[in-house]
Amino acid sequence: MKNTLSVVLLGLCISPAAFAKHKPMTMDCSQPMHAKMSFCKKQLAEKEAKAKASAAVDHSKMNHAAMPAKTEPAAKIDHSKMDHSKMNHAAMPAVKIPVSDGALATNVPMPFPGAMHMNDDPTLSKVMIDSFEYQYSDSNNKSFALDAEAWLGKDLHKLWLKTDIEADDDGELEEAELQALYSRAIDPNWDIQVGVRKDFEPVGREWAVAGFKGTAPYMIDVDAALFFGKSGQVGARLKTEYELMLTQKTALAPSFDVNFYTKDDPEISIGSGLSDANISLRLKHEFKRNFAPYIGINWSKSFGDTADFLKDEGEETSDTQLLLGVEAWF
Amino acid sequence: MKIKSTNKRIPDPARRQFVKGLTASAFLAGLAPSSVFSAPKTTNNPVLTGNTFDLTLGEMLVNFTGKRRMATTINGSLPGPTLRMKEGEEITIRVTNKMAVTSSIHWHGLILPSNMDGVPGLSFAGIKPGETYTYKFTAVQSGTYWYHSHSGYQEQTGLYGSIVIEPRESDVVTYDRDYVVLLSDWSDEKPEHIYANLKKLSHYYNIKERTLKDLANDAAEKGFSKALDDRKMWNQMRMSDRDISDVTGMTYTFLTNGKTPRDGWTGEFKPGEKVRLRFINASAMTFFDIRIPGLKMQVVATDGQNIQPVDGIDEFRIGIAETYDVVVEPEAGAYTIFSQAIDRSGYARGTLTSNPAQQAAIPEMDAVPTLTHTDMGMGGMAGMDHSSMGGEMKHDMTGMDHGAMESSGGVPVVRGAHVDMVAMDPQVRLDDPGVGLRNNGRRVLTYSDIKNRYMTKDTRPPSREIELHLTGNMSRYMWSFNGVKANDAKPIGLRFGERVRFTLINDTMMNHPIHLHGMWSELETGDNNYLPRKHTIVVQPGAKISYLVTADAKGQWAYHCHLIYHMEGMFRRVIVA
Repeated sequence: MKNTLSVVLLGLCISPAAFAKHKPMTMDCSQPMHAKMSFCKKQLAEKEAKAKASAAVDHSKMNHAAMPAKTEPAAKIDHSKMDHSKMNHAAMPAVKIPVSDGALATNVPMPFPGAMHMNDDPTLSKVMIDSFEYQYSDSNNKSFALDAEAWLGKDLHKLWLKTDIEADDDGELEEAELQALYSRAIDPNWDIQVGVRKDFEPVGREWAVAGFKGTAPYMIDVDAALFFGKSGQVGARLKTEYELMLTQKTALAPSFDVNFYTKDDPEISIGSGLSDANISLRLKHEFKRNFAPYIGINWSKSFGDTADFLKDEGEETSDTQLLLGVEAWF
Repeated sequence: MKIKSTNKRIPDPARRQFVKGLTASAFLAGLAPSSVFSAPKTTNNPVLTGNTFDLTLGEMLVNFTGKRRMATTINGSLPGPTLRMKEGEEITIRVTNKMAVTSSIHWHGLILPSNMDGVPGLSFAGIKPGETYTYKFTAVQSGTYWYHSHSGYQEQTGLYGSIVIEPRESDVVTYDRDYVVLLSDWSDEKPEHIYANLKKLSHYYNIKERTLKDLANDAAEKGFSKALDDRKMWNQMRMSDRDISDVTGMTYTFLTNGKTPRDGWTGEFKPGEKVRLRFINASAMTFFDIRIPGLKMQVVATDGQNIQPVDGIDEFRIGIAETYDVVVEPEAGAYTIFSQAIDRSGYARGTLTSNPAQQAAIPEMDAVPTLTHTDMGMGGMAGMDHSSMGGEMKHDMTGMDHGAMESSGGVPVVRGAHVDMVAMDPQVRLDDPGVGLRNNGRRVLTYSDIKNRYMTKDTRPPSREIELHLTGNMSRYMWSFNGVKANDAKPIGLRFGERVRFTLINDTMMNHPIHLHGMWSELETGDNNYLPRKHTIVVQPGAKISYLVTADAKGQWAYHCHLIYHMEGMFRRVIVA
C-alpha cells in the first residue's frame, strides 16, 4: 500500500496537470506523508551528510517545471566514470536531481485502444508425467506406478491436478488418488496449493489439501502438503527431488518422500506417526527436452504402527525395487 | 571518394543457395511492384533506392534447416529489401499487408512523427489484412538503421530489413564499398510455441548447463571446498550461472543476410579497397559477438550515428536492435565474418573475399561463458574501484529483506513472485566487455570507447532522473520494469522539451537491449561534450547505466526491452506532452 501510494505521489509530480500549470512543484519532505517516500528518505540522509557542501541547493524543493540555473553543476556528475575513476567523493558535486520511476499519476488512454495486442501472460497448460514406471522388487513383486501432474492457468494462478496410481502386474489398481488444487504463486520460488484429494483405492477417502510446491535452495524440488480427512485424520507428505546433471542430457536424480499421519487407520494399514519413507535414485537420459527414459532403484520402508500393521498382515515392511520408466511432459 | 552500391552490381555467388533457402513459391508469391529503382529481384538482398518505396508483407515457405516452414516476408524476401534513401528527402513508404493477420512496420531508430512510428495502439491501429498504410516522413538523419514488424512475434518469423540513409553532404566516413550485414535468428518452431516452452520450463533451450564435469574441473582447479563454496550463492538463489540466453542454437539457425552458416553470405571486394560493413542485429533473442579473424576493425558508427572512429577493434558485441558500422581494409584473400551467439550455441557466418571462389577458415567458437558475481549485481569486478560507488551499496544491502526494496536512487521495486532478484551492488560497467568477452586476448569494443563524432547538442543538465530496474523471474519467465509489468503500469510522462536522465539497473542475469522510440538516448559514456546518440542500449546483467533524453517529440512512444519474449512484460508507454 505504502509503495503504491508513493508511486502515485511520484507520478503526481509529473502529471499533465503539473505540466500545464508550469508552476514549480515543491515537495516538502518535512510533511509526514512525503517523508515516507523513498527519495525523501534518501534526500534527508544526503541532506544531513552534505549540508555544508551544498548550502546553495535546497534539496527539499523538487522543481520539476523549471530548470534553475543553480543545478548547472549536475552536468558535471558523470555517472559513467564512477566505476573506473579515481574520483574523490568529497570533490563530487553535491547537486542531486529528483529521482522517480517517471510514472504518470493517472493512466492516459492509448491513441488507438485495442490495437496493441500484447499478452505477456497467456493461458497455458502442461501435463507432466513425473514418473511412469515398472517396479520389480527383490521380493519378486511386480507393479506399475504413475505419478503425474497437470496444470492449466497463468503465471500466478493455476488449476493443478496431481495423481498417483499403482497397479499390480495384472493391471489391478492397488492405490489411486487424484488431487485438484488451486495453485497460487506467492514467492519467486514457491506456490501455495489448496484443494481436495480423492482416494479411489485401496479405499475411498476424501481429504482437504493445503500445501506448497516449489524449489528450495540448491535447486531441490519440493512438494509438501497436509491432508485433512473427515475422521479427523491428518496426513503430511513431503516429496523432494534433485537433479544432478552428469551431461547436458543425462541426470542422476535422487528423491526422498516421506509420509506422516496423526491417527491409526487399520483399514489401510496406516499407523500414526512416521508411516513410511522412500529413497530412490533415477538415472535419466533426455532423448528430447520433454522425454526422458530412466532406470532406477527405490528403497522403501515402513515405520512404527504402520510397520506393525503390515507385519500382522504378513507383508514386508521394507522393499527394494528396480525401476524402469519414463519421465515426460507436454 | 567513390561509393559503389555493390549489392547491385556484383553477381551474387550465392544465388543458387538462395533458391535453396527460399522455395520456388517465394518468387511467385510476394515480389511486389517496387519503387523507382529496384534491384534485380533474384539477389538475396534486394536493394530499393529512392524516396518512394512499396513493401508487401506476405507469407511463404522457406527452408533453412531441411524442413519447410512458413515465414513472414517482405516483398518475398527474408530479410526484406534494403531501403536506400537520402537524408533530407521526403520519404513515402506504402506498406501493404497480404498476410491473414494485422501487421505493422516500425522504422527502428528513425526520428519521425509518432503516427509514422508503426507501433499498433500508439502510432496507428496497425495494418489490417489487405490494407495499405502509407508512411510519410522526412529523413532527418543519415546512417544504418533497420525496420521490423511491431506486431506479435512477426519479427521472429522474418519481417525485418535494413535501411541505409546516405548523408545529404559527402560522408565523413570514407569507404569504397559498403555492405549491410544483417544478423538474425530463425527457428522452425512457431514463436508462440517457443514462448510457451519458456513459460513451462525456462531453461528449455539451455543446452550449456553446468554439469558434474564442471564441478570436477573447478574442484581440480581450486579445491573441492572452494569449488562448492563458489557454487553456494547460485545454489541458494536457485539460479544458473550458465543462464546466458533464453533461446539458443538448440532451435535457432543464425543467419547473415538471410544465409545459414552452411551456405554463408559472401561479399566481394577488390584488394586495397576500404569496405564499410553495416552490422545490424535483427534477431529476436540473440546477442552476437562479431569478429573477422585477420582484420582489425575501425568502428565508425553505432545506431546510425557517427562516432569518433575507434581503431584496432578485434571484436564487438552487438545487442538485439543495435547497429554498428565498421570499416576494414582487407588485403587480397578471404575473411570470415564470424558472429557467434553470446552463449556459444551457434554462429552466423559471412565471408569477405577478393576471390569469389575463395572462402576462409571458420574459427572455433569460444568457451561457454559463465556468469560471475559481477553479473549478478554483486560488484566485485576485477579492477573495479568499489569505493567510488560510495555508500549506495550499503543502502541496498540493508534493504534486501524489505518487501519493496529501495534501490540506489530510491525507486522501489515491487517485489513478489515475479521478481527473483534485485541487484545488491549494481555497477556502472561501461568498460566491461561483458560475460564471455572479458580478458579473451582480443581488443573488444566497450561502451566506454564510444564518443559522438559531434558535440552534444543539448548541453542542459537533466532536471530529473527516471530510474528503472529491469526485473524478472527467470524460472517463471516473467519480465517487468521496477517489478511492474506493462499491463499493470502507468505510462512514463515526459514534459515536452525537458532534458531527463534515464538510469537503468539490471536486476536480472541477462543482457537487455532497451529501446526508446522517437527520441535519442544519449549514452553517458564519459564525455558529456560528446555523448553518443543511440536508439538501443544494452544493460549488462547486474549493471547500471544512464543516458540523457531530450523529450523533443510529442506523442505516445514505445519503450521496451527488444528481446522479443521479454517485451510484452518489460514495456512502458512514454508520453511526451
